[in-house]
Amino acid sequence: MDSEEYKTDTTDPLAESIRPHTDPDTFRPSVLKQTQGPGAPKGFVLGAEELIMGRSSDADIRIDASEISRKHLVFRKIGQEYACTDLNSRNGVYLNGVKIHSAILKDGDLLQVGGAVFLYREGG
Amino acid sequence: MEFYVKFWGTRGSIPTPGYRTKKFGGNTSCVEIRIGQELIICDAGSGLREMGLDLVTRKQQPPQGHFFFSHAHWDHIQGFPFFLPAYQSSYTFFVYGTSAEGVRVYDLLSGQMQSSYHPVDFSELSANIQARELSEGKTQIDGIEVDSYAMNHPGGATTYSFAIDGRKTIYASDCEVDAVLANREESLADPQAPRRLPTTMVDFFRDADLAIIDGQYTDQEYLDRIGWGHSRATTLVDLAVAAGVKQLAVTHHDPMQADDDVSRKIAACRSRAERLGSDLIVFGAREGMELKID
Ligand SMILES: [Zn+2]
Ligand SMILES: [Zn+2]
Repeated sequence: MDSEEYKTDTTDPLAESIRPHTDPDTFRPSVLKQTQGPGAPKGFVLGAEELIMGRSSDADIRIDASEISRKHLVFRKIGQEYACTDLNSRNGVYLNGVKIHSAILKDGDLLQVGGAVFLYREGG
Repeated sequence: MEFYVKFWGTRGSIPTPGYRTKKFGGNTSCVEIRIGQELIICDAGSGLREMGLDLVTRKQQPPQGHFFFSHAHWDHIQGFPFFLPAYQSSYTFFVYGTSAEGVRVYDLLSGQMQSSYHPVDFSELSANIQARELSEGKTQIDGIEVDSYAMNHPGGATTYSFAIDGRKTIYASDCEVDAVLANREESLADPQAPRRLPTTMVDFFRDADLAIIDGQYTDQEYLDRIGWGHSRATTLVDLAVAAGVKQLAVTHHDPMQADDDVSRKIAACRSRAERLGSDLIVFGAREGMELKID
């Protein structure tokens, strides 16, 4: 699916300021592209040091579906990469079809959270 | 009791950093198992270095660590001299083995730190490091049942199982399961043929929640590497299905395999599991991935 088809939410208004010093003409941030589930298709730009995904109204990435826990998983920035960790959610986090507790996301990974599916695109 | 398994090194033979191995990782064998308070470390390949850096920053420190070595080939011990906690007096580590093996692994660990190879001698390590013996291949750590099984590998290698409260994880690296198939010739001539495994091996793997096994080669690669001590990844599917394993983590990826190659190797395993009518979960072990064993 073409990236133009996604509405893009910047999850952190300050994200731009904490991004690494990369050529602004060529730098692309890491993105989670939601391909299935409520609200899809949609894109989430990852920029903050820490982001919570969940059903809660104060989640940084909010997915409104009953099978998703209020605070389902957390994304943490490690260098230029993002690690994701299950926050003891009821229905778990699946990475490329495998139930994980945590992992460092790599370009092309598919993350499944309840009925929502995300494609991770690494920036740089 | 919470039971976690984390991969710190999944590459076989030699560290293979670089963009080709970015996804599955380039560090050699190291798997961390945490059960309750206890810390178990399977093999000390180059992945152990990162693991050690992470360990010293943790809020909750384990009372001690337990090292289980499959064998002492270099890709399974080379991380030890760079394991930061070994230089800190607050840590205690036990190194397990059968009586002869335990001494051998301990000697080889310390041997690689002699001055010709490494600037710091083993005797200068501040941590309390002790050799411990398995009794008839078994031991118990705070309610965790540890069992072992001898695998086919040049010089021998030991596979370990860690079980508690009906949950079981197996660490099996390195091993050439193909070498002990009852229909070895047939399985080479016809890769589609079922692979007949030794009953004792199937029993050892019985009902494991997670089996981490050396599946270095694709079917094609294996034909030129028979006797090198590593399995065809697809053979592990037959083993896991026969033993009723729930999840199979294929590890010890060949240094020649780029990420896409590993992904194709795993896709072949998934097709085989499907053909066998099994709902086995198969994945390529990758650095930084952590599973919770429920
Ligand atoms: Zn090895
Ligand atoms: Zn070996």
